[in-house]
Amino acid sequence: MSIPVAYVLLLSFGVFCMGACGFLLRKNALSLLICLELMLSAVNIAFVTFARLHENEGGNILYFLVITVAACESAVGLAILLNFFRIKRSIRLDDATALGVEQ
Amino acid sequence: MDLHQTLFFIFAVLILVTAGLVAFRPRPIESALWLILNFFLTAGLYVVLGAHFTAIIQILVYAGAIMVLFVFVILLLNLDPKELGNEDNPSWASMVLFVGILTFVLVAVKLAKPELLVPFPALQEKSTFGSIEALSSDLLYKYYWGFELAGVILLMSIVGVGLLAYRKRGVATHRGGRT
Amino acid sequence: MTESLNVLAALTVLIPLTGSLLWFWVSPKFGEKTAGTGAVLFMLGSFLAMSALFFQVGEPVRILFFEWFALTKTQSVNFSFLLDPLSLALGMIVTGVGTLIHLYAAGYMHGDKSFGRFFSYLNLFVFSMLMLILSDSLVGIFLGWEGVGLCSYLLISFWFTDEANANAGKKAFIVNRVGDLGFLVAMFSLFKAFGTVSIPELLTLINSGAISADQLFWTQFACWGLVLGAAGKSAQIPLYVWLPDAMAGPTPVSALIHAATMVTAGVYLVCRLQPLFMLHGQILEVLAFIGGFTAFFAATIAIFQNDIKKVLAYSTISQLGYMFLAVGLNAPVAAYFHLITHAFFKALLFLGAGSVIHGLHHEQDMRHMGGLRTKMPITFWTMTIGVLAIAGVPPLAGFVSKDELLHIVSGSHRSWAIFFAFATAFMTAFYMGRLWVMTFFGKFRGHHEAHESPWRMTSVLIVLAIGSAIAGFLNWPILWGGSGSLHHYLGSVVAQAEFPTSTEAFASSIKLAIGSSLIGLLGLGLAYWRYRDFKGKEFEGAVWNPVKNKYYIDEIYQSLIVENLKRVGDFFWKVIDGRILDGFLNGIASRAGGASLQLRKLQTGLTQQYAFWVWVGVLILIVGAFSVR
Repeated sequence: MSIPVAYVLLLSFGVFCMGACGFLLRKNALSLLICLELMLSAVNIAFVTFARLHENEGGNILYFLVITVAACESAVGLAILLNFFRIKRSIRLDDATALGVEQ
Repeated sequence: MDLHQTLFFIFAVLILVTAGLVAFRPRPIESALWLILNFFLTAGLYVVLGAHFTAIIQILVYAGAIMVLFVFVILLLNLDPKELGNEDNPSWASMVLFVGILTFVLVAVKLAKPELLVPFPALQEKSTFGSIEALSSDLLYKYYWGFELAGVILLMSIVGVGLLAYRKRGVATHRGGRT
Repeated sequence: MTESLNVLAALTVLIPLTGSLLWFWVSPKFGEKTAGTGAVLFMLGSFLAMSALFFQVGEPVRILFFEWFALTKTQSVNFSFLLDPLSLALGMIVTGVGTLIHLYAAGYMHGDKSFGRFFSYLNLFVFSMLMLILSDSLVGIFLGWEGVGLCSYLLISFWFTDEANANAGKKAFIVNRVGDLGFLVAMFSLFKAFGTVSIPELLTLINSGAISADQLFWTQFACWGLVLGAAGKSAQIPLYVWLPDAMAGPTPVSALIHAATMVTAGVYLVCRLQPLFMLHGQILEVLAFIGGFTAFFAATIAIFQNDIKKVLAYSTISQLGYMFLAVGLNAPVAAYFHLITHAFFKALLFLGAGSVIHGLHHEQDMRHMGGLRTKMPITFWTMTIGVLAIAGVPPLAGFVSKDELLHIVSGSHRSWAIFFAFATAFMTAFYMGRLWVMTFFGKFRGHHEAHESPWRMTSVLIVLAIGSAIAGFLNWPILWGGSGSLHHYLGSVVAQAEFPTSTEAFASSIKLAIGSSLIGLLGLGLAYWRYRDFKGKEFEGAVWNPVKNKYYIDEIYQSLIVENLKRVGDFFWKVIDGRILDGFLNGIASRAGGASLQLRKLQTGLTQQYAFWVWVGVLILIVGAFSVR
């Protein structure tokens, strides 16, 4: 195994950054959630890498827990999104500013 | 370059490319599909790293359940592409991209440490890394708290989603227009 | 012996003080009668305690109550009394006349909705006045000085819902303040010169004769300061302007405070510190001149006044001038004698005027009076005695004291003093006669039906009339076979030249007495002849305008002093407080608001923006964490 560790971590971080930029730049809630999944996946890569690096199963275990949380979160997020759509008839984020202040 | 390195580079490049596609394609259905591909490639990467079980779980759960859910919702909503909101805000975009690239560069610089540039150490003789037995025994013995809490989280989200999906009979929902 | 003296002295002062705390709530709770009777009884108690002191004390006594505050590391100011003839005589007057006036006021203020508050203030006044008289240190006197000023203000503006009354009270207080400044300068100068504010110590040091040039310098300041203070409190030129306005208060107030007691504080103070003034004879001369000129000046104004109380106010100023004239000419006993007799007949005159006003339902303009002789007989006869007394008709009290004053003035060989004194005597008789005739003789020119006053008021008038008649015998001149008891009594504390007893002196004194009586009778007669059939016309012609308008002094003060002070006040108010201070504070507030307005822009409600800032924050943390290593 002659892969430099740093490269894998850089990969993970690169995917994460792309996911973050996408998260901040998308206009609709659905794409937002998808980018969120991307970020979580990138983090998972890092966990598994470290598990392999230190030969510790803990990283793998954490991977499972992250997946569990990701699943729950995406389910709940989609449910909220569907409710929002039911009320507002749109999934644009510009329409979801009720918690803001009149500028 | 041996097999591992080759495979790694192929997978790495493809992962990055698909990630970019996921982040920057306008329509959600495209993002979702590219993300599925991304997950498959990630699973391949895990195999290269030696975490076989993890790879299978990635495909089964992540790509096979979560993304299917996403695709279902996208198909359900059946949105007109016009309703997706595509106005550009160049100043915002440039700001975000600037911060993103800045972060990446800073971290990359920090990651380029001599001790991290070495290749992975070889696994031990009788290594059980990535096997189901090792994983499950650690999960149920060493990390039982996490295991239990994960169950609780799953329960909570089931209840939550059920609540959110509940629709009272006779209650009229807001139809049409943005409020 | 000293124990009982301590108790009596404390009682004299504490009874009115307690009273002042009671009546304002006793009256609404238990009724007017209870409060009124209580107040009069309290005053009577104080008078009895004072009398006991008066008859028991022989040699001057110092009573130390407690240490008040520390002045320096070694010295402290004490709360203590000095009981000597000077303070006890005036104390008797204050409590005695005070009791009578309290009784009168119980009748006069009947039905007033702030009945209790009135008596609280009156009691507080008596307390303050007693503090002033009995204290043996300048600080204690100042406490009383300020206290009577305060009570004067409170009582003048008693019916404060009328703005004119409130303004009169303000005027009194503010003008008095100028006098207080003089008092303070005097106190500080004396402390600087002698290192003590205790009066017995001061007098001992001054009388010891060893005065350095430095001390002389400071005592000069002190004397001028005391002159200013006396001018303020005793309404002399230039600070007399508050007294006529003070007539806005209820008549018992005018009688007690502005005739019999408070206004005499200045005379008391100067007499008390006579050795100090002896060091600076020229200042005494100035004081005499001020007194004489004020007497003359005020008398001229009094002739032209139509409000019955204003006539009496200017008359008080004039008579006080007489007292200062005497003090200035080194005759403090004569001044004190006139003070005592004046207390009687001026209180009588004021209370009589109050009776007239009360009987005519608050009519005060003499042009609307007349013929009250038959309608208000008791008031008429008692006031007649008062008028005769002040005019100097023998053998009433006013004649004896005024005659002594004229005697001293004649012997002083100062022509201005002689002119002032005799001219004032004539004018006094004239304007008092005018008042007497316009009020009680002729046809009734008023609007309302007149009636005699209740027993509480008329009984006091009678007592005061008796006092005005016989008080002269307190100090009947030795020259005429009298005892001159006041002379002997006060002579132990103040210095006055002895009366000559030769036969030439006797003859000239008789001539003087006849002369002064004639002046008085002439003045009265002239007034009677002129005003018997008063039809509303007098002193027509523009030449009388300045005097009718009080020589425009109030107007001059207003434009010269008050307006300029107002300008300064306005500047501080509008510019410094308004623009600068308020602007600064409001600026802080508005800047805070502006800052929050800007910060509010962060709260867009857009999730992505929030996430962005989270990211930036984490970035900063990471960079920070890395660089700290």
